[in-house]
Amino acid sequence: MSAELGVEHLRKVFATGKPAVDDVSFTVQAGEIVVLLGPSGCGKTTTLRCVAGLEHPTAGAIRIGGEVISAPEQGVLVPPRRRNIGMVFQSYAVWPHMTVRQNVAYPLRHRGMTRAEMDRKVAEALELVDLSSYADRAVVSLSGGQMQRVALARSMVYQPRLLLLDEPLSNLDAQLRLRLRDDLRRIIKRAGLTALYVTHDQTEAVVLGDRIGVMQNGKLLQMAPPDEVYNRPADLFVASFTGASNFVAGRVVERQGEFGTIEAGGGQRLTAWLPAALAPGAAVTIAIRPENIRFGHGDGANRFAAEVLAQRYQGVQTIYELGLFGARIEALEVGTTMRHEVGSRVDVVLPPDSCWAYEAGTAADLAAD
Amino acid sequence: MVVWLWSALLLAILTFLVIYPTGMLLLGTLTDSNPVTDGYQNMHLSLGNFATVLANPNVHAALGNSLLACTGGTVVAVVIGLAFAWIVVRTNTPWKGFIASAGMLPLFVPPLVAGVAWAILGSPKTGLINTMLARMGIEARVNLYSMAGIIFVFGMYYAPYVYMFTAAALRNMDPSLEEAAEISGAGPVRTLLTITFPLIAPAIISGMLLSFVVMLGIYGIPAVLGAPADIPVLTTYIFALTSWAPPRYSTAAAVAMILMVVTGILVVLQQKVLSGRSFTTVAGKAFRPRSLNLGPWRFLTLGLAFVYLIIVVVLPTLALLVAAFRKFLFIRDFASLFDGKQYGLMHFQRLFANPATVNSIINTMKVGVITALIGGVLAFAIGYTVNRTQAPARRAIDVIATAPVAIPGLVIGVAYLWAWIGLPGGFYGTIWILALAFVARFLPDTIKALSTSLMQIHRELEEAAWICGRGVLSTIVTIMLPLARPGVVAAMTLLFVLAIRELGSSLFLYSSSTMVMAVQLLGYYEGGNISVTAAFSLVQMVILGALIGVAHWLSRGAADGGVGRSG
Amino acid sequence: MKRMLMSRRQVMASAVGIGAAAITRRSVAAQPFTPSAGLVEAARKEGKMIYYTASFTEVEQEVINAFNKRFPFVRVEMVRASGGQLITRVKTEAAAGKLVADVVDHSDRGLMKALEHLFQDYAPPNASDYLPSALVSPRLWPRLTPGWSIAYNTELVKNPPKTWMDLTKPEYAKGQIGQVIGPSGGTTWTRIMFERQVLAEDYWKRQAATKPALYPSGAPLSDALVRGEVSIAPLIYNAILPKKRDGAPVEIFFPPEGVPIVPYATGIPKTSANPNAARLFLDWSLSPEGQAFTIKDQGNLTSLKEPPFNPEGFDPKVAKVWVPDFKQFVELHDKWLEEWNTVYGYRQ
Repeated sequence: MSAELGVEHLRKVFATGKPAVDDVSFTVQAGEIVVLLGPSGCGKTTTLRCVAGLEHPTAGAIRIGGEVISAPEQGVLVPPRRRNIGMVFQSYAVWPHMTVRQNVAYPLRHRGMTRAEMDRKVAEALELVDLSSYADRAVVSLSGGQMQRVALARSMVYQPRLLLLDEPLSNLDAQLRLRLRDDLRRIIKRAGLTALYVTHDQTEAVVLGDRIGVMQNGKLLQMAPPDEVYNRPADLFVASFTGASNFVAGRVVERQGEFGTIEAGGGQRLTAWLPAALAPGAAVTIAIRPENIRFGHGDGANRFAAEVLAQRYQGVQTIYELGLFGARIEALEVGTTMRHEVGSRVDVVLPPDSCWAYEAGTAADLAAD
Repeated sequence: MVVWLWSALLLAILTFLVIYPTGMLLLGTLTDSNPVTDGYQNMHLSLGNFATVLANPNVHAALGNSLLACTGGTVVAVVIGLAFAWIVVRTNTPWKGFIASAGMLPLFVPPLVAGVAWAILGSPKTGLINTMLARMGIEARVNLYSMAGIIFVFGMYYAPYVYMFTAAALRNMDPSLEEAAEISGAGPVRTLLTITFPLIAPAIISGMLLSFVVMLGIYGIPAVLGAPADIPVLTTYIFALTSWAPPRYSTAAAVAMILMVVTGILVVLQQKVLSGRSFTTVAGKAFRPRSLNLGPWRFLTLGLAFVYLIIVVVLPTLALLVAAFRKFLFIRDFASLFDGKQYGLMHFQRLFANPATVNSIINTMKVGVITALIGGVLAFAIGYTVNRTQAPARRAIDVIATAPVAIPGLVIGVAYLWAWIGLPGGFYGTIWILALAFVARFLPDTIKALSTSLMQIHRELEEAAWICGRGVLSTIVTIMLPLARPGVVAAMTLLFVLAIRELGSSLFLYSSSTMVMAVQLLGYYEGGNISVTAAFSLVQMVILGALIGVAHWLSRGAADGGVGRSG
Repeated sequence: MKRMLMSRRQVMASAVGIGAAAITRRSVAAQPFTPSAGLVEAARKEGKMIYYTASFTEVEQEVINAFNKRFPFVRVEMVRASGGQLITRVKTEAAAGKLVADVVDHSDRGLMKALEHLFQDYAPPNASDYLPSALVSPRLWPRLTPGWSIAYNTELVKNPPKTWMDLTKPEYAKGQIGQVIGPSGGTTWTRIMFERQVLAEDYWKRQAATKPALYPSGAPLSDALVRGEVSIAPLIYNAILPKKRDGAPVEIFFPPEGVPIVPYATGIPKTSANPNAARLFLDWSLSPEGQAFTIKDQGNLTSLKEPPFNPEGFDPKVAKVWVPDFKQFVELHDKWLEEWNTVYGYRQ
């Protein structure tokens, strides 16, 4: 039922110059959930809409279950209604003039099935999203979260080959978003659907996705399981977008396998993961997540002493600003007590696995937020 | 392939409805002969006729009067419309809802009726207002048979156009912008002048341009108020040119061209203003408009609103009532105004003794229904194609469909007559030729009314249906039409009302069996019986009122469905 | 000056000699109209006719009602338009082969004469009773013959005028007098021709000096007179008589210098689909019975040599009718109207 999605060299250029999607290729295995993550305007929604058939790609091929549904060079363009896919929209897009049941039954109505079969499928879908008791309500009387679940039921009721979700949670309030986020993955997995999900929220991506694809400026930068995206970001942008907020300028001294010795500001040296083939002497930027800086003595490399310049108490955690490498570095410690006073000197360990050195980038590579 | 065919079909329809008649008009301007009666082979194309018209001092006078009257009228309309919008949207003036609905009434009054009513009220010698002033021992007299009178009545009657635009903008404005100004230390008046009005400037300007354009094309008001003082404007001048014996059509067509050019420039300006409206802060989110607590001043604003309503609704209606029920309109003094012996139903009896009256009402209803149906469907097709699809040539379709705004009705009637009379079959002389003329003439208004409601429907509602496996047509039927129903009903109602009021293009297209109300009314007016004219005006107003009530009731059911949420 | 005027008046009087003489005779009662059974039967079969007229809606509806009293089986559908618009409609329809009118009725004989070729041969049974001077074509007949009078509002005018010349008096200045514009059509053209040819070469100038209020046509002027917008106005008698009968505060008189009359031109187009109904309507209209109706009930005059009636207030001993010379009616039209527009400061 659910099928594999293949996107090859997808390209979409709108009338105004710069490509919105630029040579994007990836595969979603049958039954897998892939999340496209990126800031607004990165091309993730355009990619999704190309898969849906709501936008017409400029070049490249899209396959569902091996069948080519879009290949502009060959003149192939299957209209959305023949692609047999489901889609959940950002605005829910539930039809306000219909009841919950009418909304969910809508996609079945022209598929030549018996009334009983239709009723059964609608009941199943509503059961799946936990809305069975709301079947005959007008959708406008529902809450935002309930509307989004109606939309989900509607998109799955006909067992599409592929489910597309376009920022489905962004219009919900924070608490509801957390709850529905967990529900979504459970529901999709239970239905066994292949899903492509678009969001700009990193945590949503991590919780929901089997794999995450990070996009920027129309390019797919990295596609990998969540832990790999978080621990081995492919480049400075991915690192910064997923939350590495400390950047330290340095220079390659020497390379040892995947790692290298970097000389940072103030002449201090540290060991960092060095994915790019950079020769000694090359300028690099080291990205470090505040959570990965450990306080206290430890063994191994990258031990430094630093001065606490400021502290920001956040209840369950505290952010310290440290003077290190001639810069201000943020470090985060979990716990409800503040252990280090401003002005004191602390020992910190920067595990080499968590220090990622990339070719020195410009500010433009850094995620705005 | 299908979309190409579709675009070609729409273009073909528009060519028939708009381009071809306009072309005939242009031909008429460039010749001194009538292309139909004198034959095409006898035509001498030249700019000579046009040049002669341009050099004619009478044309200059009419053009000058038109510009003066419309500019003055627009200024009055903007002041009143803006004040009205502010009172209704932004203050806690009591009975706002009632004031808002009653303030729209002037839109439904045919201009000729408005002119007649104000002639009865404001004639320098016999006007009821002057009779009243004399009674009160006040020396001053009003004279509406003057440029000032035309400006006043224009301003009063077309203020609702400005109101419509500005009220919507005020309602959609993020109130925090004004709050920020007040936090920064600006008082309410300064906030109004430095923040609120500048922010809705595009809406004010486009309301202004629209009312100017509409006034430019109005015949009834300057005809009644301007003629006795010999103040010709472009429309009355054109009308006079067509009614003199022998008529001067090519001159009329050339003057009409001038009118079209002026109107066209303004329409383009208006669209420019509208397209640059990005800073009007009309966000997708719905705001609760800020309501200013006026304290005791709210009774002043209420008073102002009532003064306006009395002037545009109550007084003219009273004038028509007096005229329609009074034996003669000669009113010696104030006391004779209340002489019961002078009143009776004689004018209504006379009105309905003429079988043409009832026939014209029936014909008008037929034309109205046909126009609303055909026009509604066509406007929906065009509005949908332009706003919702990537169909080829949709820009061209949009532009052509908007063009009739610039063509005054008085002239387009001749254009349709020339263009369509030669069509094979029994088209000429039927109700259909009238209906098609109205469809073409009011296409821009209908599309505009519809587009607004189409644009309010979130795109994703439609996309969701495509994804669910529906084709374009099926999606339109099951999703778009039900959701757009209030807008469709409103657009069709508007079309119906406009069709019922329309005089200019009816004049040349009606025939013995298709006489319509507006022409019949002009017949009574020209026939010199102001009392029967007033009686028929009242009948028309009652009919229009009933229709609008029904339409309101029809669209009410759909309103609670709401329109798709927008992100 | 005075001598010249006199002599011109004499010339005019002789031009319409027979008519004037005829009208001075005592009026005789109208004999009832008796059409042939064949015509009635054919008209009944057609059952309807379409009537184009430049006269006024209400006036013509009364004519139709009177006709239908005698012949209820012919439904008359009327198209009323002002002179210019009606001519355009007829020309355009004819050019497109869609002239649907069964009868066309117009006040401007000149314009109708130019369209003579569109009409079929028709003459009423009493054709020979009509004044030759009122006929411009054997196909077109003076169905209606309105005459000019002067009316005033009795509530406003204490010292009423008695003659055409009185309308040049300064005491009636400053918009007290209402005038229909010269280019409004054949009816007014006839009057202003009369003013210049019969009253005085400079009559327009002297009259215009009183600064009259100008109206686009006679009907709104008659209404304005009743309402008191103007106090005095030259009006077609039929436009004001019904109002006086209803009790309006007006008085009307036929000035002694002469009564310009405007014989209409009415004909049946070749393309008429209901020629028998059209013929019955015109036969009736032109018969003494039909003419008596337009005189008695509507206040018109007639182009019949022997009028069956004289309208209320018309004394042929005092006022002589005046018919313009048709050749001059056509030839002088454009030039004189242009002069009139200049004299009266009317923009065209």
